[in-house]
Amino acid sequence: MRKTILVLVPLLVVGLYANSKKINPDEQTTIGGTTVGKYSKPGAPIDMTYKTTKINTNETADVNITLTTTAQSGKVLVSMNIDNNLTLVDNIDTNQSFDITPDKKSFNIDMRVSSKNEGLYYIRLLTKVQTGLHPKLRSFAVPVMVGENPKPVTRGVNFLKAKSGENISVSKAVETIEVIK
Amino acid sequence: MLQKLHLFFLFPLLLILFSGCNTEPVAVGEGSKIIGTVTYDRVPSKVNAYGEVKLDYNNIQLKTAKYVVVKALDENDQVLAETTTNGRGEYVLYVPKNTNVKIRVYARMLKKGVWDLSVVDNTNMKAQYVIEGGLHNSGDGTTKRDLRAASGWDGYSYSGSRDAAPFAILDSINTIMQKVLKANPNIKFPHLLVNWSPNNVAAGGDPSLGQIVTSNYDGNSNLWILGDANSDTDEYDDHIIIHEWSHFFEDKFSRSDSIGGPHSAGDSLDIRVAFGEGFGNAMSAIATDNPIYFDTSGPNQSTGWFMNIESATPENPGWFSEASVQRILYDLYDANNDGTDNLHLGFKPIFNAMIDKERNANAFTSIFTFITALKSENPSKKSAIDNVIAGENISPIRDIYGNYRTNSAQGMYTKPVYRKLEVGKWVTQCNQNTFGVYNKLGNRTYMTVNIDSSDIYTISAKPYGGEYGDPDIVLYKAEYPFKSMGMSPLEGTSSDELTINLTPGKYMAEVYDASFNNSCFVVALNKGAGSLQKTRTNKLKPMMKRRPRRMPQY
Repeated sequence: MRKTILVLVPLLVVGLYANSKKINPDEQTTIGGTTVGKYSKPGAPIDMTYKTTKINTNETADVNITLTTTAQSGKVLVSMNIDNNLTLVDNIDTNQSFDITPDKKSFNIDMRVSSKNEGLYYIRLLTKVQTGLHPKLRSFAVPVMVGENPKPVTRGVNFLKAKSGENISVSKAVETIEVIK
Repeated sequence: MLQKLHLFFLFPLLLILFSGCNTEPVAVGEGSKIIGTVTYDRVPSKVNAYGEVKLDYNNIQLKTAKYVVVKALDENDQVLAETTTNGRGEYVLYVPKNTNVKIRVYARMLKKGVWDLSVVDNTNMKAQYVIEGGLHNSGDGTTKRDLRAASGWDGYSYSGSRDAAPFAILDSINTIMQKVLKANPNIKFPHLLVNWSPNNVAAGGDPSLGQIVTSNYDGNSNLWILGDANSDTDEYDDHIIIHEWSHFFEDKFSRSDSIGGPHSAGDSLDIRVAFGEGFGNAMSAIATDNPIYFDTSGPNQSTGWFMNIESATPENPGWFSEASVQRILYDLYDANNDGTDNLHLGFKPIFNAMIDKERNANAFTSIFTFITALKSENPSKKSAIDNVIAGENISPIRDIYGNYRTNSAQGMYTKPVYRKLEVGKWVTQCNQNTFGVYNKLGNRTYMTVNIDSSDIYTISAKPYGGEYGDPDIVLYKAEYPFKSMGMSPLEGTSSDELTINLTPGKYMAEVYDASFNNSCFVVALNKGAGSLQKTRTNKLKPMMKRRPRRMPQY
């Protein structure tokens, strides 16, 4: 009996501690990211910051996107492509245009999406900054996670462990064979 | 009875002998010979009637896969022979006669002691991309097996696996490596890993999911390349591949002090960023002898943008412009005399300047350090070099600090480029956000510091008129690798100071307003510890988020 109590008490303490930790629902379900301050390949002078909510199937995710440019004037043109597995809940225009002024260089795009299938999907933006001389483009992608730990799908290749132990991604070559002699 | 015993032992022995029996490789020149050529589909770019660039799937070209690893394997996946293709994509292997053999080609360029670079799938446990032929009998003579990595394009979309992409990336890198080798045949390239996947998207997050933000060099011997079809793919955008590889080159053979951040051709940039990005763009044109830098994107990769490295109309020329830097570098290289350019140096002088005096400059890497290095090594060309830079509204460069600037970018505090901070004295410096924040001209002030004796020193920054700011002070040892030695600790205060032990030598202080207001500070350098006290509301700031430091290796 004494031994049983000695075992049970620590287990009880651990269990109580685990349950007493407050779980912040926002931390669990909100995903955010930004390109601000990160290295950019040459392209349009524009950054993107986003916030989305992680959802289960048939739930609705809030997607908040902010585009910020360092251009002093001109236009930002945005063309959005919503993944086939996502459904736009609101009726928003997927092609938008914003005028850049010295006082207005940040632009918000908000939407809601849902999905019937688990997976990692993206809302893709192709932005063009027109400042008069040489318009440039930059692409962004906003992830929407549906379900638990969704992963991207790799199609058409065969992942193997070679005999040497290395991981290889094998595809079939287009091969022609000829007997020479 | 004895016979039965013999059979009893013989049978298992025979079974062991013939089952799981490994094929023995043969020596070179013996056995059956397999020859062949390895090729891949290259999708070229095309500028359409509207001035947009796109990938031209109607004109897919067959290109050879040069210097890639080729292996012959038996039906148990055992390697029987291994080689690499030559500069024409050709290979030769010797395998046992009359054996079922398949040929496997790796997206890996290998020349022992010279280069070793692989393209792997960062979303699939860094699996090495390979293509394989089928198992066929080797016969007893010579057979030719040609293997091609297909693009995966079916005329309308990517329906198949994009096998050509890794080989296209390698071929672009090979182009610039051969250029560098011509300048220095003894050069040895450190190992490089190229991460590419169709899942690589322009999103921040988890790189193992393909969320790589953009194509980039990470400062740690990794290239990351976008592959998101119908949004942004870069595997055939060779100028982008070479631009990113050039950051690898700066890291391993030269030096770059760039702080990264967003940038564009018309920007007035921090001089370090202007040079780093302009150098990458110029290298892409130099490597390919094609001044059209392009980036395709969008549905079916049918849109995009391009810039003419050589002759784009200057938007904001000057020593702070990446576009000016790229035009200067390309003009120094090419044989086409235009405008103020009457010089044709070729690549070797540029290479030599980058790996020696640029690498060891006692000031931040910029157009000033580069041109000073170039002139020093090519004294007979000084006037001609000055003429080239004059075409970009840059007055003659006489030293690594850019003294005697006449072009101020119409900014208030952009000249002089460097100030001198002496022990026991103070200077005023002002920050401006006219051109943007973080990495734009006017955001940061550079100060040269000379120390004569070992002691504790304090650099302090206090408000000086105008808007209040949040000063940050970073101190560098002004010699290769130009490391940051320390940073002032406070955050959210109008004053700050950095106290540090210093030995005699040259240093560089970088002072800026962390909130990027239009503010001014009095900056002083004194012996001894500082007097600024931390208050309860102050906190130590985390290490400043900078572009990952690319620490060159010996």
